[in-house]
Amino acid sequence: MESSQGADQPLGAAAPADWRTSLTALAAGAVVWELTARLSVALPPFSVVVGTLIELLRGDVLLPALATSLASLAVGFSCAAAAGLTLGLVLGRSRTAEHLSDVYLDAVMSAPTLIYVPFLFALFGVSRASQVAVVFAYAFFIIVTTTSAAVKQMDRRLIDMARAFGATDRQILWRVALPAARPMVLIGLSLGVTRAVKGMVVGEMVIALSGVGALLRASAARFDLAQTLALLLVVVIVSAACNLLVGRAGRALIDR
Amino acid sequence: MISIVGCRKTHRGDGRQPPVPVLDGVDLEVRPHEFVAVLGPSGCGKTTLLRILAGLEGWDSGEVRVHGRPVSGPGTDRALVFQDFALLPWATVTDNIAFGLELRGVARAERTAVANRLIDRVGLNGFARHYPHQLSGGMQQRVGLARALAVEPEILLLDEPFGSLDSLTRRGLQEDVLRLHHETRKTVLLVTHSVDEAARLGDRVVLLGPRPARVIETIETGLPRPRPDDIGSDRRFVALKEHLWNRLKALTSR
Repeated sequence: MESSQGADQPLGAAAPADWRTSLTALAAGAVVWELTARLSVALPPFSVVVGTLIELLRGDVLLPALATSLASLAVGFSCAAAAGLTLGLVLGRSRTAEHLSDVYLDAVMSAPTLIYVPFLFALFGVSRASQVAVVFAYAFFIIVTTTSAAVKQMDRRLIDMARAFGATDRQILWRVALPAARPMVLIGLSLGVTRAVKGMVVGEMVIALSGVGALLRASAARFDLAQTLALLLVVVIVSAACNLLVGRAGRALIDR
Repeated sequence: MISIVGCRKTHRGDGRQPPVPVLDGVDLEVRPHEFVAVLGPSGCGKTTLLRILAGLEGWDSGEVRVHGRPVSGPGTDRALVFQDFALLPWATVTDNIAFGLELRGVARAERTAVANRLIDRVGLNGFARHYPHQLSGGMQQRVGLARALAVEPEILLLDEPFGSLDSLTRRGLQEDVLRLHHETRKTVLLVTHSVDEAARLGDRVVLLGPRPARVIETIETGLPRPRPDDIGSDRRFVALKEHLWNRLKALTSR
């Protein structure tokens, strides 16, 4: 008897029903927002924010700014993912390397990343490179630590098994270690890209050169709450889209 | 086929723990097509012995030879079946069985064909596309057995393969192993702490003492092959178990 696979979706594969639930939650949130805003004065209602967003999309400011931001995000996050995965693998496999770097990683992780922004700014100047560096700084460390943890907590018995069946070191890495680490590595990449989006906005807000962050800062300074929230919506949507994309790419990359 | 002479091994401590001597001059000879059961109390070092034979661990002194050549690592002539199954949780039954072939670069179509034959052979029909977590323990170990058979080894090394199974499943798998041994005439080295299992399966039972292990006694069981279903009531079988029990009790009470 060949069973249907439906009830046993592998981890990470969202069933259609989940989407319906999420959409319901979003709709409910919009209604609550709208009602709260209508009853108080401080918050612009959802409908007004959406209206502002549509206006922004029609105008010629948001889209070029968004393109600039996304470019920094793409470059910064790709570098962070590549470097983070590599370093994470190395640290996860070598106890010595891990002990050498432990203290520093903890120290870097415990400080708010915002602190490093002026240093990066000083290092790279008022340039696109600073923005990319900030994105990198936000995403890199979480990817390193999750990847190294994923490799460390791996089932040693599977590696023994593979060796007993004659696997080379390379085969162990690709056929056993990476697939075993995959769920946690994907979580790391997902956390990483969310933080990268945060870094993108923060970098632009602090350096105030260009991009969505600069727009956010300007509208917040004007106390234009509707536009601020509309831009925030854009950031949230970008973050969700990136998460989806990274999940797909990560799954495709670590073939099983 | 397998020849171990005076094999000694001490697990080195990691600074905090003192070194532990595990094997204290083990001698063991296994002839082609023979089914040898190594019986010993838990933690006596019998798994270490098997891992040395599988090429997963080294030893300190003595000789460990397979086909007259010293063991220097894992080899295609040996396949190991693990106590805890050690299946890849993300791979289907087919892919798990074909794993050893995949490592050797056998083409997909061919390894699927081999896997399908073995699925039939170990009685897993209809479960080709299941994942390990969807199978019972007994079925998982059938996958482990099929994976070992897939690489067509001359020697099967079984490391307490049925230790974690309930008694009914255990008996079923023991009968499967007996049948497979009878059909394929592979050389089998089984490590177990079960007196019943050693007597039921082995042509010869090698009794190891508590750690550090040495061979205390080697007994030809003299039981017929193929084993009849009512072997449990055979006088020689009962007497053999009684003898092994008494020896084990004496060894562990000291």
